[in-house]
Amino acid sequence: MLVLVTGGSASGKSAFAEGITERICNGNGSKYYLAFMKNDSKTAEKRIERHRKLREGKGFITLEIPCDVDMELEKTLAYSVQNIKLSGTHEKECTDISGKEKWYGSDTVLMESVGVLLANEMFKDGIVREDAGKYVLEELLNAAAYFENVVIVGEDVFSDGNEYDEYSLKYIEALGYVNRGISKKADAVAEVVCSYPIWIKGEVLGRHIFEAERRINGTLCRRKMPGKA
Amino acid sequence: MELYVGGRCQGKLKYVLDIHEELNENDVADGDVCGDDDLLSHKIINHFHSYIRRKTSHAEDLSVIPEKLCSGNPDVIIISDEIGCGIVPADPEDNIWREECGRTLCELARRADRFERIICGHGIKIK
Repeated sequence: MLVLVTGGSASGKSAFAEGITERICNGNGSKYYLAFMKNDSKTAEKRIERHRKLREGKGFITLEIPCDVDMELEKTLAYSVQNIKLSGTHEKECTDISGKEKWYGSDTVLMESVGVLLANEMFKDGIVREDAGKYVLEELLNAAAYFENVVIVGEDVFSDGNEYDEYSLKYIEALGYVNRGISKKADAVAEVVCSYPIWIKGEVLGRHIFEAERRINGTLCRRKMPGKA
Repeated sequence: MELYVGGRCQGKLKYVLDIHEELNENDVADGDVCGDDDLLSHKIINHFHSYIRRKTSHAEDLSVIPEKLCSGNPDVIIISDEIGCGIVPADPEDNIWREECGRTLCELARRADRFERIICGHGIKIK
């Protein structure tokens, strides 16, 4: 199953994506968190820390891969696949979109996020890579082939009406391309608004997962407010 | 408490006044200019995102706002622009505003009895 979760900044899409990842996984196989963010600034560090806290105690195996995700994953998982074998998790062979044979288990992954990965690939080594959108879409779909269930967090940067410089516009265009490409392959797509989902695709499936999540956790918004009982 | 969000110029206030016939423009506090007390004394708070903007400029703690509103003005109607759907702002203060506004609205949505998004004057019921 492939689910795309999109939304504006601070819309609660991460907490939502994490909640449905847990529901989809439902105790089967391992649960991976694939982070694309580089820990190279104070702001990044703060964000990473906040997301780490959100995931705390939920049994995610965290992988931090800032670029070339499919290739890096192949290296990383060659090791973990053996571990999974030892723990007896069911595995099967499958092919990715390029037709190459690969291993994958009955694992679930939460990938975060498309915009971060695109920025990493597009502006790597001070050069602007024009084909970054195509590259990122391909590496994400290749990476997705390693898992049975995939939740990808994208972002909505498309409606602030601002004018931007040439490079930012290229980035926006590429992000739109990647979002559309994933959405096309996805079983369900949700836009998160103030922590609630609007299902753009696969509404029946999406609602089913969301309701299960809500029944168990009551709410998807995890920010603790003072004064709340 | 009720929450209505949407892009700018989508007819949010008109939508709210249409469905709440008992209210009129005198019940509206404007987030662009209103004071803290207005939040508790008015039935509608419009331009809530602008209120958050002014609060972030003074580096005030915003996490207390949802509780303050819910206990002090439990039937309040909050109207806010959605401001998160863009590129990360270059100005750190703009960025903090965007984050704080988003998170405050998440919490308000969670507590709201009714939560809708307005597009082209139409409300899409989310909760």
